[in-house]
Amino acid sequence: MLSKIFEKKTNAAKILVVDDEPGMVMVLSKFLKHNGYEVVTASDGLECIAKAEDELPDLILLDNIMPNMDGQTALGKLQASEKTGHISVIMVTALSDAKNIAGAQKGGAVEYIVKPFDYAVLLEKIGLALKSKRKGA
Amino acid sequence: MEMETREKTQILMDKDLIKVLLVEDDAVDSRLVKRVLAKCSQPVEFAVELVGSLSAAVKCLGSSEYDIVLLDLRLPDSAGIETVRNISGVNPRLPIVVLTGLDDEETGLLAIKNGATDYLVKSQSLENLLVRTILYALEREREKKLILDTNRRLQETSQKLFMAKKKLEEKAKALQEAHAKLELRVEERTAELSKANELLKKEIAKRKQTEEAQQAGEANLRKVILTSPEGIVIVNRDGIVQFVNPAAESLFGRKAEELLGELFGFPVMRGEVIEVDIVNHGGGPGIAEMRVVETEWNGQSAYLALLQDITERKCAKEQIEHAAKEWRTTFDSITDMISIHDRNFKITRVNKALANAFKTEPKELIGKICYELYHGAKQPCQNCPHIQSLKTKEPSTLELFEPRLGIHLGISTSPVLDENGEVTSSVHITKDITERKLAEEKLKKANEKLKEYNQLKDEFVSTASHELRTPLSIIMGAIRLVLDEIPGKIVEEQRDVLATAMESVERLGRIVDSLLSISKIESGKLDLQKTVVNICELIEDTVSNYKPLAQEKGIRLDYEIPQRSVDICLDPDKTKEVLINLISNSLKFTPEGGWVKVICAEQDGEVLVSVQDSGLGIAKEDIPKLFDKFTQFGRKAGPGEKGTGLGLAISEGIVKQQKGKIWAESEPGKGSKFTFTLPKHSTEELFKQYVKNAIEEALKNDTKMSLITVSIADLDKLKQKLSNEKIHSILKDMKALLENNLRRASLQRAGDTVFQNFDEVFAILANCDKENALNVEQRLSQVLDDYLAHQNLADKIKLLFGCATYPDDASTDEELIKKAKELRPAFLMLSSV
Repeated sequence: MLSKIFEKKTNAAKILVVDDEPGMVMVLSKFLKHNGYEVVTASDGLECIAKAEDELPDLILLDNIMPNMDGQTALGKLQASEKTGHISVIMVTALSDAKNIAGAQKGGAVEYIVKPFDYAVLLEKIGLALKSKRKGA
Repeated sequence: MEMETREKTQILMDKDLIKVLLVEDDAVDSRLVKRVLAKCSQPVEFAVELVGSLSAAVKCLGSSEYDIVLLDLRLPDSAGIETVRNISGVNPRLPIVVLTGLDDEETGLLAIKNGATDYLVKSQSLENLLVRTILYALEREREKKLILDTNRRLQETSQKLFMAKKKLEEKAKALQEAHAKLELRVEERTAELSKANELLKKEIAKRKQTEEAQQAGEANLRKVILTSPEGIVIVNRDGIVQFVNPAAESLFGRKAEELLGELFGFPVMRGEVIEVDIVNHGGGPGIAEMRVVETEWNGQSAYLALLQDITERKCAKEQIEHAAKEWRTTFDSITDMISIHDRNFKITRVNKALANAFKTEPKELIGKICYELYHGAKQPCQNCPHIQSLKTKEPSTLELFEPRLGIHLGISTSPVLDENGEVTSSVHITKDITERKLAEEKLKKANEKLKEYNQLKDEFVSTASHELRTPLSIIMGAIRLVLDEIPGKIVEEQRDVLATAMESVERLGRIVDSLLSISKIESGKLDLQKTVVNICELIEDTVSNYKPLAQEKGIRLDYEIPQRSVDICLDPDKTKEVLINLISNSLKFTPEGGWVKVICAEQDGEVLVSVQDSGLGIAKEDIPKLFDKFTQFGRKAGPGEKGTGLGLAISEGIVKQQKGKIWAESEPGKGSKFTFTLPKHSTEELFKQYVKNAIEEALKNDTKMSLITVSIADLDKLKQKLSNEKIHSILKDMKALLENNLRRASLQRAGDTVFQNFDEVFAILANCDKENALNVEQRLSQVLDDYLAHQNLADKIKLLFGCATYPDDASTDEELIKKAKELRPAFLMLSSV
């Protein structure tokens, strides 16, 4: 039992889920955990940056519209920081217009997923992002 | 001949002695000549003087006269022809007979040419010939002289004649002049006489006339009066008719007997012209003009009334007056302000309404210059419709605000053309359009407000939809979690219930998406990601996606597309959405056993795509409402996904935004046909459009964009080695390779496009700076080199590259393309060397 947990902790990728909607965080966490990922969460941009620095996740799922600091701003800060610049970020947001997509692209996000999304597709994209990151690193 | 000679010789007889100068140095010869002459049988005597040299001969010729010279050419001081010339020089008239030797006949002939009259050969025949020759020579000379004399005399006579003629002419001229003068005098005199005569005649005639007039007297006058077309009535001082001429009879329609002795009945006043009622030719009422003069009748003073029928004239005049008045009143009762302007902007006529606007009378405005009067300007206004009308000969309009009057004016001018089609003036109609303008402004404001509301609505829909998306994804996720039994096992019934919930949530998701789409379309914010696509492939793709569903429903789903690719510029995702909407609609409303067909055709610069089915069809009255939002008709849909009621509205928006049209044809029971069109462009146009779009996008997002060109070097030479098809397929492969290798990250989307021309491939990279673009170029060159090596084409094909970045290298699409076409071998980064 212990070894299994240890194994999980060492091998599984760590994903930081950032969303101001507790429901969203809950559902995503359950899904990711069920699919073998380690999950940490944050509920706004500020917390996201703090958690990212503390936990150094492999990937961040980042909502855009949030109180205190929005996702776009947080993305910029994450990418600008030496400590967190290497972390892949996937934007998961209700905004689907070209301007926001281009903004995310410019900010360095590797993917952009519009809500509501197919969970299977999300998992696939997470897998791809992590794979290419490992390859790139 | 013989006879003649004799005769002539006889003539010579008159001369009793012929003096001969013999120039001969040879004594024998001289003696011979002397002897011959002395022995002469002719009745002539010769006196011969002999000299032995030329100088002696010349001396003799100078001192005495000779009739003839006999000349030997061989003299001690002269020889040959020269001797003849010398002698002839002394006296050209003197006949010279040259005596030559036997062997020298030629010299003799030459001597004749040089002035000698004849020559003789010194021989035995000399005896016979000498005298004759001398006589002939003398005779010839005499004739020559005669001719010359005659000639001279003739000349003299002719000159005399000429002089005489000249004198005669002068005389004739003088005579003529004298004659002319005389004639003039005669004429003058005649004129004077005839004048006097005329005066006399006139005087006589006058006297005669007076006499005659006196004699003819009243008879003549009567005749005139009787035949006068004017009515003549003589009334005495008491107003009783004394005389009526036939014209007056007919004017009053009564006989003279009826009128004479009666009261005339019209006031007769000297010098006044009045109008009186008469009977017209036709018998109807008429009007005559009556002039009255004083006269005498039978020794008593009376009035003479002259009557002229002016019925017709009066009528015509009345008509003209009426027309003029009608025109004037019409002109003045028009509430629009009207003025007529000549070519020099001078006002020639204005109506009352215009004068009223200036609080004056029309005549006060005539002659004024329009721009001075109307606009207080010193020069014609720039946008003046009058100038426009003068120039174009067409009506022209203008709307303006006149600050001095505080009103808006609508001016329209119409040119007035003369018979040559030239504009002489223009009619200026000015309307007070202040109310209309105010209403327009109101409407504009209302419209703006409406737009504002509409925008608010769009924003509301957009925000609401976004707000809906998060809870929707939570519900979807939650249901998925339960369905996937992550929180725990579920029973079959629970699964069914959740599946239904899932279906509804998914539909809700589609509705939210559709609402967002429609609000974007309606607010004009639909972002089209246009790229060049073979629409046939798009159709094939979409149809094959729906094949399983069609099969499941027992419907035959086919397509009919052109053999070759039909490349057009469109947003593939959005266009596919239209196709999906139409196909899924058709499938929904086509019963089992039916068919659905997608047809693509090209026509007049556009591409037509139709989705036709053998389904239920649509009622005629419903067709116009098909593309409205949330309209679902009483058609019974088959099983499957529920619609959102927005599909056709969105489709219409997408098609229209791509400059196409969409429409439906249908007949209940026979199926429907939905068709949309998309415009076609030339490759060049498309490419330019592309680059333009990418630049606009970059400008909007404040990013950079780059354009990479890949070109095959020496294409013309290559075409000799490889077929066009082969080259085309290589370019196509290159395009595909470029498409797959533009960016490393999975983020390649919005704006990245690969474009293939006839001999080049272009990559448009959105959000890409110079460094990044050169990176991409390097990677592309490696990939393409690998491809060429693999195809065994590396030695045949060399690739050239070009790269330009906006806004670093160029600021317009054209410049950027030009810059990107500056070709060179592939760029190599230092790191890769």
